[in-house]
Amino acid sequence: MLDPNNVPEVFENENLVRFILSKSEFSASTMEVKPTAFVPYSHTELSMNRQREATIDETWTCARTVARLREKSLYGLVNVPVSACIEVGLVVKAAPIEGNPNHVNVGPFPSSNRQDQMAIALKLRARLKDRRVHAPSDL
Amino acid sequence: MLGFSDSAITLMEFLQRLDERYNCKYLQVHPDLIDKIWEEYDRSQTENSGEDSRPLSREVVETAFCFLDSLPIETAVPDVFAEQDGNLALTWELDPSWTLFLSIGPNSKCYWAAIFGVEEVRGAFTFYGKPTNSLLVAIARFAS
Repeated sequence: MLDPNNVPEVFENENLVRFILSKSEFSASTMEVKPTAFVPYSHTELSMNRQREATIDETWTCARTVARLREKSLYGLVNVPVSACIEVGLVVKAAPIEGNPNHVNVGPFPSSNRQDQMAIALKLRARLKDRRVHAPSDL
Repeated sequence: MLGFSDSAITLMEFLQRLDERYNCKYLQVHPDLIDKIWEEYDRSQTENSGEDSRPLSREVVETAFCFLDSLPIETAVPDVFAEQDGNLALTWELDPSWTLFLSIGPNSKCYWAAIFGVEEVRGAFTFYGKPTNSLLVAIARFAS
C-alpha cells in the first residue's frame, strides 16, 4: 500500500478498482458489471481504490473491510482505468482514509439530477476494456 | 394508478384491470418479467440493508408493472433488477455503448439515460400511465 504519510497525486496512467457490494451491480450470468455500480446515488462521488503499490492481498483486504463496515456482502471488484474516468469528465482525487491510504474519490457527479448521474455511469462503463467482475476467488 | 399494493386483489386481477383500462398485453406476452420483478422484490428485502440501502416497495413494483404494460407489444424485453436505493432498474442493451438505463422510483418518478455510440439522451418524468415519447423513441432503438 502507499505510504499514508506520503500519498502521491493520482496519475492518468494508474488503475483503480471499484468494489462490488450488491447483486444489482453485476450480471450473475455473464459476471459483467452493470451501470448501477457507477451511480453514486445520494453522494456526489464514488469511492474507489488505487492499485498503485498495493498487492492483490492488500486490495482484497480493503474490499472485505469496506464490505464489513457497510454491512454488505463482497461479490468482487472491477478494474477502472483513471483515464476512463477522465474521458467522461470525472476527476480522481487521492482521499486516503484510516487504514486505506489507496482510497480515492471519483467525481463530481450531479447531486440532484439522477438521469445525469446515470448517463455518466453508462459512459464510464462503456469505456472499460475489462468489464468483468472478478470474484474474490478469481485473483 | 390502479393500486394493488394496499388491497387484497391478486396480481392476476391487477393485470386484468390494467388490460381492461389500457388494452395492453405486454406483461401477458412476457409473464417471465413478472416473476423476475417479484424475485428482485424478495431479494431487495434481504439484501438492501445497511448504509444508504432501501428495499423495493410494492408501490414501485406496481409502477413498474403499469409502465411495462404500457409499452408497445413489440418492445424488446428489458433486464430488471432492484437498485440499492429502492428504485427498480430496467435496462436494454445491445452492447455497452448502446444501452438504455431506466430507473423507476417512489411516487412514480422515472429517470432514464441512454447512449447510442457517441449520441446520448436522457430524461425524467412522472409516470401517469404513459411513457414520454422521447423515451419510447429511445426504447424502440432496441429491436425486439
